Amino acid sequence: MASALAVDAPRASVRAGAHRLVSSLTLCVASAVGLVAFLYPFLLANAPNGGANAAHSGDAPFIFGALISLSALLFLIELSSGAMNAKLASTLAVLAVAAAVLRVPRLPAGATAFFLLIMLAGYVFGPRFGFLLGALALFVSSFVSGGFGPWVPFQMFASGWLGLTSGWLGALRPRLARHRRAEIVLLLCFGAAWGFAFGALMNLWFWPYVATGDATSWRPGLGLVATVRHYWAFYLLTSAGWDAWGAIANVVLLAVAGRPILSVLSRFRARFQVDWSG
Amino acid sequence: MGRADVVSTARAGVAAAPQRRAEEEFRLHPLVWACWFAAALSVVFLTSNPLYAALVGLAALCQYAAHRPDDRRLDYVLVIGALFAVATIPLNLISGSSGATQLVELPTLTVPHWLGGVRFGGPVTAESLAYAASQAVRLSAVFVVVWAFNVSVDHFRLLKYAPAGLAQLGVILSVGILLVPSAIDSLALMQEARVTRGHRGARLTALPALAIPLLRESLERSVQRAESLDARGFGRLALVRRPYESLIAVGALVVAAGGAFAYYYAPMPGVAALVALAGMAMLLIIVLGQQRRSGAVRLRTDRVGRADVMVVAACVASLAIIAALRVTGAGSLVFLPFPRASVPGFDALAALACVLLVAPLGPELLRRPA
Repeated sequence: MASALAVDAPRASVRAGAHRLVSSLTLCVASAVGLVAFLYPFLLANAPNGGANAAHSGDAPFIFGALISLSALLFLIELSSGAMNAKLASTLAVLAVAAAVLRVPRLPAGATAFFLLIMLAGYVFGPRFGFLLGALALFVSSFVSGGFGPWVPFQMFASGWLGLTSGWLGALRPRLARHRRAEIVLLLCFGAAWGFAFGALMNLWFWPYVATGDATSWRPGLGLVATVRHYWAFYLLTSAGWDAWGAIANVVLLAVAGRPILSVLSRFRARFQVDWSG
Repeated sequence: MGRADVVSTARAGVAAAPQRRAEEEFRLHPLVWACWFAAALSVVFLTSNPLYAALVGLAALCQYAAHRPDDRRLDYVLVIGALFAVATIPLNLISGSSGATQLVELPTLTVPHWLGGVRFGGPVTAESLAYAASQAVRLSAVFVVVWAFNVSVDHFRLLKYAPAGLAQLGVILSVGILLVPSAIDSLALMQEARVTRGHRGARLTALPALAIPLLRESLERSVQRAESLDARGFGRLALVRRPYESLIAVGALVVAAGGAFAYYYAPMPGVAALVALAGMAMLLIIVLGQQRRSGAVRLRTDRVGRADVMVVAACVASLAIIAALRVTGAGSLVFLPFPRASVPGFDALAALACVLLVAPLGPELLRRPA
């Protein structure tokens, strides 16, 4: 019996290692395909132009919308398929609903407080939690606003990436523990950058569908430099002003409420990590 | 309640039973609505002809009118959506026009060099106006389809059919939503405590001061909730993972992405589109195949009726016709008014495919009492 267990232990270890490897591969590929689905206007910049492709330029949002829906599905299933700690799951539930509720009140120029909790919770609880929180909060807020459309998978990915990158930023937490002011300044810069980045990312999926003007339109084979110039013109014309307000809202909210929320979340994180085995 | 009341109530119940049965029979399955949504959106995306987009938009508007809830805010959402679509026309016209027929010349504005030196304004052509207007019609059609779907389908019924792999996330969402009433109670208690301590001010102005204690309180409750989750075997919902399935799913996703790019880069876009579709179908089969191994218990009361089958058949036929016309290049699906403005073409078969999307209206009309 004992020898059988001794033989099984390395096998189980190898199996667990294989599971981890496959899981990491799945997450990487699904995330990469998600990113590709966002960046398709630039990736198709060198496709053969004219003929069928010119006519098919309007198909792109449809094709890549379907692709991102599937990669979001695979990514979420893989991320949540492991046995999840019930305490973290419960915290995730509370924060997702709280973030979704924060999307309802509108600040000036359409800005919201939606990103505040995602950034701070991702920063404290890590990238995996951050991604799930961003994606779930967006999904719940779609219930609140009653609007499920082709944009939801894109928004879930973008919001998930916000949480994911907040988690990466959180790797600096131990070093910043004694520099509270530097920590807040770092978060303010992060919030301001994401105020613009979220808008710029979300424009990408419908840009080819909406823009027809010579200086702003997209078609396959435009060339990378011309595609970037056209997108920049489109962004300046339609979104830069609104996103500036979003960035300002993020900075103000983080400056006012960032510190107290961080201390609450950090306290709960510490409680979850108590190890009673001694 | 007297005996007569009991009898009359029972009679009313018996009389209402056939009507309820009829309502149940003609109430569409939530997955049928998902099918309609996918078909309608696909048709709008696959054609750039504004006439067909307008037809799909009209079909969706009929659904919207049939299911319009009492909450008239959704009407405003639709109007705002339509205004947004119309607003894209001037935005596109000031960002440069091409074409042979010049209508007017707008003053030009050049953005400073450090902002990219982009030039706005200049000549406006009839071709650009026609193209921008056709895109606005397509955008409006998308808005109407999305809102018609949102008012027609019961989202909570639809969520029952989410893949088994998302069961844990489903529980997390339910827990979060269940915590909302207790959070509202906590908020009222905190406000009362503030007033007792002599703080003044309306609830709205007190919200910032209450937000942090409320968050702390909610997280505290979530810890208790986690213990309940543990006691009820929350971890059991975790899907039993099979690495080979994950590898096949990853492969299918890569094939789908490769097919999508080959659609634009490869010489045979039709074959590439089929490869992309095959990858997507394979991924869906794997995800849905995990259903049997899930620890989640599902309670479903929706039945598939004749009406469901007919509506799905209409949606599939509509999409198949448009896809076939797209592949063969027939049906005037593409509208590009360059270099000289033209009237969009019209094909009876393509129009029929768009009109088929009105199918869910039939069961809806039959469900209603005369």
